[in-house]
Amino acid sequence: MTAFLVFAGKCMRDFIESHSEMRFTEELPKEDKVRNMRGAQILCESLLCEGVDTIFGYPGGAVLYIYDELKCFEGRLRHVLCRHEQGAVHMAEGYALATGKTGVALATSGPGATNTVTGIANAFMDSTPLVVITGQVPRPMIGTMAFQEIDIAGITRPCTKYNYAVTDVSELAEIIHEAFYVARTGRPGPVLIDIPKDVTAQVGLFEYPSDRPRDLSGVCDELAGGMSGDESTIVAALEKIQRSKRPIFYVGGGVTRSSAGVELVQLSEQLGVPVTTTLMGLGAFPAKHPNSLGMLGMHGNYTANMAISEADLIFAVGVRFDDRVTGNVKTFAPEAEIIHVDVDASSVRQNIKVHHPITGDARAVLVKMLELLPHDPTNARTTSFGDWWERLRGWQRDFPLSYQTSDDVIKPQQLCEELARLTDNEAIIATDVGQHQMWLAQYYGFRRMRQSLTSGGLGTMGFGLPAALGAQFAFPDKQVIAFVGDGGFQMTSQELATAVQYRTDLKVIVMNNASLGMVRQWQEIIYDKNYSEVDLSAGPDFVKLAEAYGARGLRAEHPSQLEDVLREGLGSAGVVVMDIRVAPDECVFPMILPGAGLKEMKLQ
Amino acid sequence: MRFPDDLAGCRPQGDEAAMTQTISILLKNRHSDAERVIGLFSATGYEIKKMNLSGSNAEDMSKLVIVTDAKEKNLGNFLTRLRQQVRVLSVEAAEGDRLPEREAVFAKADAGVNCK
Repeated sequence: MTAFLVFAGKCMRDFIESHSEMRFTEELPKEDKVRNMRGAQILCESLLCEGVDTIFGYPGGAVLYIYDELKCFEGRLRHVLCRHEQGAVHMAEGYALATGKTGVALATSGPGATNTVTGIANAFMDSTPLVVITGQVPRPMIGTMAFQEIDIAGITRPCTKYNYAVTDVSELAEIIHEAFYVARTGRPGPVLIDIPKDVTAQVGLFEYPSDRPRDLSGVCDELAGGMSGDESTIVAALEKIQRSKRPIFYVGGGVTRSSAGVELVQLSEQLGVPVTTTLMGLGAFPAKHPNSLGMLGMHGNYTANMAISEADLIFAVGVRFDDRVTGNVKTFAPEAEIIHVDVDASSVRQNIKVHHPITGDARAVLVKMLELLPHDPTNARTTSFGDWWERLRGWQRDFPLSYQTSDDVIKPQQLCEELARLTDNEAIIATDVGQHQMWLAQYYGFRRMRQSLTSGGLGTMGFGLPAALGAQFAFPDKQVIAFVGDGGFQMTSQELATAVQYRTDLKVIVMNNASLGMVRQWQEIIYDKNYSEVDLSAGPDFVKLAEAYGARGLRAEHPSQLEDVLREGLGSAGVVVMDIRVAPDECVFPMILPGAGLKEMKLQ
Repeated sequence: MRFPDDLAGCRPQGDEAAMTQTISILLKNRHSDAERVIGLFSATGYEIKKMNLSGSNAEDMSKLVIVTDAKEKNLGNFLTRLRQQVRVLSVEAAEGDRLPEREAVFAKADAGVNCK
């Protein structure tokens, strides 16, 4: 038995030695150094070919060749050293959401890779274009439960649009090219590329593909042509809108993803149709536009929810009739004929019956509609829907968003309004998930696309700070704010170190109610005030925390301090954390209780 | 009023008839694509009752045939999602009773040395 163990141990040692790092330091052929490269260099060159200028990452054993190479790419390919891989992926998301480009994150194998999963799932739910590169143990060691080995491709398969496990350096450039194509085409989403360490050291010929990837399915090929929707259906849809009596545009993140904001405003103005946006669609239509009804759904405003419930025609663009929007589907918009424009055919009729589906890119469809409008002889009703507007204005007048002001305690709604005033509704703001997210959505009044960065589908606490930082890296001269709750902030607050290290001007506003506010609100309203595990009053002291990271910390505890603290914090250079102590027992209203219809709003 | 959870507003379940569907998928099986497609069944609540993965006429293509209990209401969406998978080339579905079902058994019997 002992002899066997000695033998087995020797075999294992031989195996490991035979596949040690020495094995991977392959010499470059001397004759053609320009085109023959190691895998790590092929990766970096390929990223440059895709127009990538910034990647967010965290090094580790399996990606050391890549980091070795990154040093040679300084000045051309900026690497941002995050403090946690989840933060790196959220930063890449924030970068992607703010710019419209594809975000890139890099992590090592094993725990580095598993730490990316929340960010990847978040991007999957919110259709954010993302390429995540993970290291993997060397090919000969795959399947041996080697140190820091995990099947990350298997783990992320259900939450990626596609993923790749690279098996040879010869396919690396092609895979990267295809990954970026898949991530940004059609309904965008995250793609993961898992690269074994020895592949990054392996020498191969670098030739970056210039053509569109061919080896994809019919659907992807179709999307590549730019889906413009079926023309006859678009013509019919336009006629339906014009002939309706109570039409409404219901728009979401798809409008932002296809950059259709300008066309949406034009169409709404030309037809005289009101517009309501989802959480993901904030800014896709300017909140202060006279045709804007604001956000609809569980915490949407009264007018928007009543309007969609009473409408006889819903023109839905880039939305998915999510349960937080529809409330009880059985009572959702009972009288409405529904036209649904979406680039993803599978999201049409997923939750709700749609009468006229249009599979196409939002911008392409809206452009087509605008082209049709001037030539349309029935275009006499463009400023019409007078009765409808009268009802809408009546609801807006009688049931505006409102809250009880206080002289003693800062109301969270007041914070959002003050922030909107001081930044002229212009800041790029990333949020976490919960009460602060809803209040900001209600009261900030976003002006344009890619200004509101939020975690909608997955509802990821901890998204706000790193996402805002990602956006700040994309726009160093713009005012970027992480607007977070005290719960979510503590999930990724280590990224303050990243913000300080790179001398950014990121501003962090912590709406601190010393509790998990939204959970507390549900427990108050739905679970008979049986507050269970929502008390976060133990701290920490966020001002001291900021100072520990080398940032500046400010605090406002009384309404009289609010404006001064915000002015000082927002106006200072460098990273500033503003700890704003708000009323702890405030609830977000309106609220539609789970299972209730949109008309059954609780207003207070 | 106390709501137990937020299930009440969800898409109605249970009031749609389940029917056996045979779904046949032609795909390029490069980066564990078959596994991705199979995973989509469980992720969307379709239980796999029978499954067969085999080669096809073309060298780099695979044929995946899955028998499942499908909910009529969402089948269209599900098939669309299958078709959208990156390396799926075609998806065909047929209701159980419209397909003849055959099972073959190969049996090897040991008749013993004395058998003639």
